[in-house]
Amino acid sequence: MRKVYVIAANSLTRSARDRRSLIMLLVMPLVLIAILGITLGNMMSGGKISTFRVVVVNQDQGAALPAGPGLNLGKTLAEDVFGSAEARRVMVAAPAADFESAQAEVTAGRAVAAVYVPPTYSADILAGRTTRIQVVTDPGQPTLAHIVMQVVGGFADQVSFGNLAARALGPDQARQLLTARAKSPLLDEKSLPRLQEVSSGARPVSGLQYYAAAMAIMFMVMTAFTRARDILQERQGGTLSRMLATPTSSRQIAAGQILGSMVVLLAQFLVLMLGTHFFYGVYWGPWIPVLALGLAFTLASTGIATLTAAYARDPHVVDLAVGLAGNIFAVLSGGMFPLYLFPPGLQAVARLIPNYWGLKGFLDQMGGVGPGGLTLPLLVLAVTGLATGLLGARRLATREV
Amino acid sequence: MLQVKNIVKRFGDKEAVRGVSLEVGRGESFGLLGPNGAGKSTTISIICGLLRPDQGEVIVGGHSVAEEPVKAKRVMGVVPQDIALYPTLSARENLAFWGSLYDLSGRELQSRMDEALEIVSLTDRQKDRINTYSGGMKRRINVAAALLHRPQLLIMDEPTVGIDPQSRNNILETVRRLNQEKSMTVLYTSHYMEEVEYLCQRLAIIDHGQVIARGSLDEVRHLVGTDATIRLKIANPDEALVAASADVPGVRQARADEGALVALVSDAAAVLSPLMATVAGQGKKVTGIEVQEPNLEAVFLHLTGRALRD
Ligand SMILES: Nc1ncnc2c1ncn2[C@@H]1O[C@H](COP(=O)(O)OP(=O)(O)O)[C@@H](O)[C@H]1O
Ligand SMILES: [Mg+2]
Repeated sequence: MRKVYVIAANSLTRSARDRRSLIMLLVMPLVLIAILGITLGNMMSGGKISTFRVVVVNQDQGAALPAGPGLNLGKTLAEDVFGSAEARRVMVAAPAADFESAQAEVTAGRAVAAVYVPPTYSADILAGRTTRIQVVTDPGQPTLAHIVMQVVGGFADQVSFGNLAARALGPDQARQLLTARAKSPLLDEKSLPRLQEVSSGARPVSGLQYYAAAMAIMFMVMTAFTRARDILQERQGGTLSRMLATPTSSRQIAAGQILGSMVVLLAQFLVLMLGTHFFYGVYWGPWIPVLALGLAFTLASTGIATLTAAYARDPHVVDLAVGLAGNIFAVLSGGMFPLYLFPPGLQAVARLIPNYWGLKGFLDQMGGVGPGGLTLPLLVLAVTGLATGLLGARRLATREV
Repeated sequence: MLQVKNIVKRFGDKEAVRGVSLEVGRGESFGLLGPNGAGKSTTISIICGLLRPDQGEVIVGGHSVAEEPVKAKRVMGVVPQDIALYPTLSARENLAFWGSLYDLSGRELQSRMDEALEIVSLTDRQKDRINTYSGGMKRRINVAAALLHRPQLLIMDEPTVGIDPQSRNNILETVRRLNQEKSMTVLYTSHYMEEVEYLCQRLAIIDHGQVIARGSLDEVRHLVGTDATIRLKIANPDEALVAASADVPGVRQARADEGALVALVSDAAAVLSPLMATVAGQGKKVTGIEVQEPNLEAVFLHLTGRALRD
């Protein structure tokens, strides 16, 4: 057992000596978190980075009027309101054919809300009849749902004014009033919660927090590939052979290398977590769940490192993977831009990447989702880590030099 | 101390080692001489338990490498052909790591490191990182790392390839001293015949994965015959000179060869002065002397028709 520690400690010392890696894996993320968190965090409130998805089902057939073009309030809602510059800052409205498929998108987490305008909506309004727009929201995203409700509610308020007018003044004047008022800005800057302050939990999550978690995860995956490269280099450079020539079993060596990876990754997590906490004031959530997640993600990254080291051949190829796979994983899992921006297919792919579960876990803890949101990410990460780790360890310990 | 019994190792179609057997006695210094690609490193890897032979077995200090690898590995210290050290760690940190893998710790480890650094004369550079060392110094630390646990059998795979003469001498001296003063058994691999001649009492010559000659240094040398060659530079060697030289006692054969008289002799030291006197008696002037004792290079050439070095 002592030799396992000796080999692990050797990995840690060498990692700490490697100045290029240290800068890559500790300094870079801290700098990036600051830059992205501040610049994109601001963009989030005014730009398109933070957009979430709403599915709008407009079945309104409109109402014909004696003179001029007919009235289609559903179209106004779908195109003018959800399509307004203000709304587009925070959300993307996608059309859908029917309410059921729209609801399915919400259930699947691909949209925050589904909005349904019935076929007779305009006609009912003009006739002074009671009618309603239906909205289904994701209960896991109360704040985003709130924004949608505000938009739809504001629209409905304006329209019900028209409804009253129709009863009092007749359809023609009601149409004029309605078209004028329905298009007036329903969202002003102040009434909108900034998206950088949006989370699925009770607490808002800032851009800084978002990128603290996302970059910690991305760079831990890069470290995992760096470790894999180092382990392969030991094989190529002859130090592995030399270890095997000592009275040390290949199992002890593999165990030492894996423990070394874990220690290096955990150290990196702690540095990034505590660094952003103390230097940038990033709130990560309650300590114990956050540490548990950190450990689980360390396990998953160690698994990646071990599996890669066990099956890859060329350390130079793995060295390329450090940057390439590290970034691709990060982008695909929402580590660069929030996942709402992605088409559904890619959003499904994200779930296959450990980064996704790590990021989800951390964001939920930052957002105050509580221990309930912890189970699935912890489980997925731990199982991934153990499965890949054991598979890799078996081969690592038996692979011929 | 070491018995290698008919080992065979194939890499795919290629048979790198084709039935090599060696026996090295306790306290002996044994050379394994062969050109690049002969199968030396593969043989060493099998002895160290890094590669499993397709056939045959290896016994080290009474322990089968296949069955009791840990016991066998404790007996051996291995200096690999390539420098197997961590470049970003200092020499001492490297030694501490390798010593720990031989179960050394605490004060004992410290004193063994001092001792090993002393042996390779790098005590004053011990705190420097390996990547600041010259090639020769790296090779010396590479040797030191194999000495920490005071192995009974020191195995060296071409430890002097491509280094400066000073480091080379240091390593050769070290090995010779360890063998003669500490009676450490040595298995020394090289494609330099001078090194093997300097260090080893017995040797085997290996080529294409097979031992083509073995025995004591003298036995192997004389495989080509017992003769040394004396070559005297003479402007105009004529028939009379050749005939007179052939009559000198101890000269087996004499011939003229492009401005030189070449004589095959059994004992160069004894023949040289009467031969010179004869040449002078013929009124010829000697402008250069070359004496070639039988050597391993010649043996290899004789056995394979190729030179030992590429
Ligand atoms: N891992 C390997 N895979 C395939 N061929 C190998 C391998 N190792 C050595 N060889 C081949 O086996 C032969 C012997 O190599 P080696 O033992 O390294 O020779 P030496 O050490 O005497 O120079 C060479 O032809 C070499 O190419
Ligand atoms: Mg070799």
